[in-house]
Amino acid sequence: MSSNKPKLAIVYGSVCGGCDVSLVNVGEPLADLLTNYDVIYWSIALDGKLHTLEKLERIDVAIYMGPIRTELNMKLAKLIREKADLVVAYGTCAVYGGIPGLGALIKPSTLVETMKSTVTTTPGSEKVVKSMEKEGLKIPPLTNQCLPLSVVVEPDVLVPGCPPAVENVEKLIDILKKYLRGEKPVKGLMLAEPRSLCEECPRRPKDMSKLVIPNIYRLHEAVPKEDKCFLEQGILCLGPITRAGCGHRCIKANMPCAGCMGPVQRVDDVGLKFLSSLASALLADKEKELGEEGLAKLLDKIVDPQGLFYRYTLPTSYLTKLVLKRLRK
Amino acid sequence: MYEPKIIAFLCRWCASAAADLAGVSRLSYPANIIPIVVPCSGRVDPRAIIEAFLNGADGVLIGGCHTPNDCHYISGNFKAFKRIHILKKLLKQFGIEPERIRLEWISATEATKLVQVTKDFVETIRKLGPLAR
Ligand code: SF4
Ligand code: SF4
Ligand code: SF4
Ligand code: FES
Repeated sequence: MSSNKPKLAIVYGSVCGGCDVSLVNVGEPLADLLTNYDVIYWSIALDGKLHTLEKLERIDVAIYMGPIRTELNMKLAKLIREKADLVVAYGTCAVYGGIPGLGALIKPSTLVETMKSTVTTTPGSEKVVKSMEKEGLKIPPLTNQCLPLSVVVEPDVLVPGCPPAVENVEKLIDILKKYLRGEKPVKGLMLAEPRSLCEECPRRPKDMSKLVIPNIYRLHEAVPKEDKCFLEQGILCLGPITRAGCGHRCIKANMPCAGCMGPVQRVDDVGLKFLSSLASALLADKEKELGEEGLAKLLDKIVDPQGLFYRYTLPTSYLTKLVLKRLRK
Repeated sequence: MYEPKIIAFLCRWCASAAADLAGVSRLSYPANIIPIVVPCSGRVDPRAIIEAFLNGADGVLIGGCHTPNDCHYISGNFKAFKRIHILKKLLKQFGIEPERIRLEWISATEATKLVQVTKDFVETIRKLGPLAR
């Protein structure tokens, strides 16, 4: 089955499936687009095999979803960069590591052990794996690290979001339409705003620089008001250091931002930056009154700074680099 | 013997003035300390601390003016306190000993405190060993 339409491959890393759903969700524009491409690889829709890709001389567009967590993911990532003219890193996992990236510092053997020993694993799955192996099928081994696609190869277009927002998927579809006419986007195009989520937020306080965070509440301890900035209510919101462009989905649903769009332009470590601004604004009006001890007590209400600051970007953190450097020595 | 490398961010008005006084008074502090003068402890970005570690430091000392009232920029020392408090917790989650960061209030007259703190910190880090190992 050969055609002279441009070839499109939709390739999975260790995806959760959400990214695929977000792509399909745009509906008609996608269907239109796909009539103009020859979809050669897309595990959810076609019987795509690795050798299909390996055999091809050239792919025009490859969309990669999920992080690189297995040796097969790694192989696919390198393969598409080698063969495809346009590589799209689709979703937060592919851009920053995403939720699976939270395992970046855990030994692969520990991850596998946990997976096997927790109740969420289907009983008997070991047996299934064994019988698969008898048939000659092998589950790809985990890589030592969990990496976003963008760290391993240079993507041409990046679409952050867990999963990407409809607006940005539509922008991507536009880009792929233009590609049909021979127009290529600038290299490294990020389908998100350079400015912060706060700058677009309907709850933005009048003077952000005077903002005082009055306390720290965890989500279950507070009933957030719908018209007031989360930080002003003592609920930690990553808006100040997160890129706008998601249509502030969480804020609209009365949930603070967890940072899935990644850092604003010129910030490369979300956690360290957020920590810095958080510390400035937190109880800024009560420092002398509370003293060090009082402040420390309230600060300890941040029980899991790593998970809060780096929920979506752990593999790209400087601290991760530091730890990995230490482990490699 | 292993010699720890330590970066010390010292605020210009207090801790760094104490280091000057130590010099003038011919008190010596360990050569392991590489001092960097900053305007205020509140200006020390957590990023700079991690950057120091990435570039080979085994420990980072931050010296500022005493709380509650000595900071020349009103509350920079409290900002530093809050940052370091969270940063230490974060380091621990990453498996790095939080003791590698130390925050101390040292006034311009406390040259002996500066000497004591630096000596003590060098010993702490010596016990912990090099960061990259
Ligand atoms: S970015 Fe989110 S939706 Fe997409 S694969 Fe990763 S976890 Fe799933
Ligand atoms: S911190 Fe959150 S709630 Fe406040 S303005 Fe920014 S995005 Fe909106
Ligand atoms: S509000 Fe924050 S967490 Fe929610 S979708 Fe937008 S960027 Fe992601
Ligand atoms: S001026 Fe010394 S801590 Fe602020």
